[in-house]
Amino acid sequence: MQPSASTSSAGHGVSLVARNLEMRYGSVKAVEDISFEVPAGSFLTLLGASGSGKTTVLRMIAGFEPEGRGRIEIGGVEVSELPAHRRDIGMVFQRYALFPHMRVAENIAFPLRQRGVSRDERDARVEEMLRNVGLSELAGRRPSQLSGGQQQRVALARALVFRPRVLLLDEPLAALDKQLRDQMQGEIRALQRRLHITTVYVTHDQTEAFALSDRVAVMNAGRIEQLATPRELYEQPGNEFVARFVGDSNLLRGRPTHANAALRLTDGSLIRCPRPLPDKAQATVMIRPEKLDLHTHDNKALGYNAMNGVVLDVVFLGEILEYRVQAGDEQILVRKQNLGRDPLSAGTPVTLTWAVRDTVVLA
Amino acid sequence: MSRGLLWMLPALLMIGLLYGAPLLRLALLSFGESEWTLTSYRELFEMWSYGGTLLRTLRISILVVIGCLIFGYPLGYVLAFASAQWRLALSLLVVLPFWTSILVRNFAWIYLLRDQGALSTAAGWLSPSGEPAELIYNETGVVIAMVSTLLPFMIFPVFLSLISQSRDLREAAAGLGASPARMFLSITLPLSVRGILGGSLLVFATAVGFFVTPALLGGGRVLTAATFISQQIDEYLNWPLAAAASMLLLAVMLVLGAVYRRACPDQVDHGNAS
Repeated sequence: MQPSASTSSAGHGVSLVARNLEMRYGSVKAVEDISFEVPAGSFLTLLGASGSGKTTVLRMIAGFEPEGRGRIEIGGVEVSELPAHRRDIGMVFQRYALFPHMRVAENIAFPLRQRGVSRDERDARVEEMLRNVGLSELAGRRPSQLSGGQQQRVALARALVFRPRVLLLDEPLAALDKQLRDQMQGEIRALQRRLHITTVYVTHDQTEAFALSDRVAVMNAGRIEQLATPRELYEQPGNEFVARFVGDSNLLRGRPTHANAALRLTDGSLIRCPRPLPDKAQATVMIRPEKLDLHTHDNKALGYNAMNGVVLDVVFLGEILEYRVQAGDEQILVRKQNLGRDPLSAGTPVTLTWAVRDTVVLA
Repeated sequence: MSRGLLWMLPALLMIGLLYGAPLLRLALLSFGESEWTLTSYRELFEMWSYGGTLLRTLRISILVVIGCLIFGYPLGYVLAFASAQWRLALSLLVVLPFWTSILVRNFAWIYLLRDQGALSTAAGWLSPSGEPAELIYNETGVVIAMVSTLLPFMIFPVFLSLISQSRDLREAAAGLGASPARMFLSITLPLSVRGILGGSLLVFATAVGFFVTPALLGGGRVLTAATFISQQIDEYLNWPLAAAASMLLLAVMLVLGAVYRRACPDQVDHGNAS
């Protein structure tokens, strides 16, 4: 691979800004007051269940929803009023959307043709892009002669070959099997970094979102619940929805006491919090399953919360053990690494402990 | 396999009795009623080349196909991309005439196309000479009425080939920079070739054997294959000649069908990886 005047030249990323996006289907609000910014060259994922509005947001950016309202800027220029074909955005569809009557090379050359790129340059860039996605051998094939993974690579090459200012991907890996998905994830991320292209990715798969993204927007019912780095989302979810949606979580509800510094659960246990609880009659804190420790003897330490309970059952998952523990009125999930010791059996009385700083106060 | 054949037996019998046997009978008839002879075919060849019947039939049929394409493709397009309610209303409008008697429709055309009729006068205004156009009892009238009659045969295959195209493809094309016109030319149109070819074949096949319209709007002056056959049976009782003419038409259709199968995209090119 030689560095020609090519797609591998980094640094053509531009920022993408969405302000107050709104989209209704009849009386249903599919997207409601969504705003975000994607800095040049960075990777944002819209994460949400189906019907959360994530795909609609992507389609609005691409220009496929002329009914949508709000402002979209690419590289500081408003594009909201531009038709899709003048937005200069590369998009990869879930079902690939390759043109069935064109060969692989023709598919990839399509956007260049629309832009009047000369034949020689077209050929060179198609060839280079094919090399980028490792499909040089298949230039003459029809899409129907390719496997799902190969089709997705062609779709990616086609979306990137014209050096779009923004790349949009709509669940591009959903139709692939697990192994291929993992592999493609790595390839997409590597390509995105190399090309330094501003990217918005849509998925319902949290692992995928975390593996790929600089930042993730968790979407629910047409709104963004939280937009943050994967680590922030996991460690400091802003609300109960995000806490539940991202990873597994144990939620404890109770009454704030001690000037909102601690939570009194229904069974009387006192949970100390690292941050003040909201000034309400009811509050919720969250603890991730892997932050909990199990002890067979009483264990109280400074800076730790503790609850007494009984093991309900154990699930052996190989590298991980999952305990369900009844503590007070709550069932708590505890995830421990398999360190080779005998697992605790059901019925064992235990003390659950966790660091006060791992107690996440939810709004 | 043999079991499958057994299940198909009733259907095979039915097709054989209702279609196969009459066709065979017709084929035999064309080679003479009492002894084997090619007289009918020789006669047919002479009469048709003299009167130009076959050429006229083919010419009319081709013009009808072209007319149906010109009007049918846009209609199929509108139908495919209309909203659900509009689609229902429009397809009803297309189908409704189909449910009325073909005779009534042809008489209606006679009324519309006759000399001093509305269309003839209007055509006169447009023509440089200012003379009212003669639209009836000639090929023009036959073609006009046949286009209107056979239009649905074009509209629906085109419509089907258009609605079976995924919206993703059009959006992908737009997203990749294709203007609406270029999208149509490079994506929508090529992917509807199947519908165009299928509709054309359907219209052509029907047109080649069409009787009512050439008989009524031709006013006995436009002899086509179908009117020729009818004439041979009704007036000259020459059944073998009529049978021979029918066989010739069948041969034309078989050739066209074979051409269609070869020309149709997407059925080719599987598995021959280069």
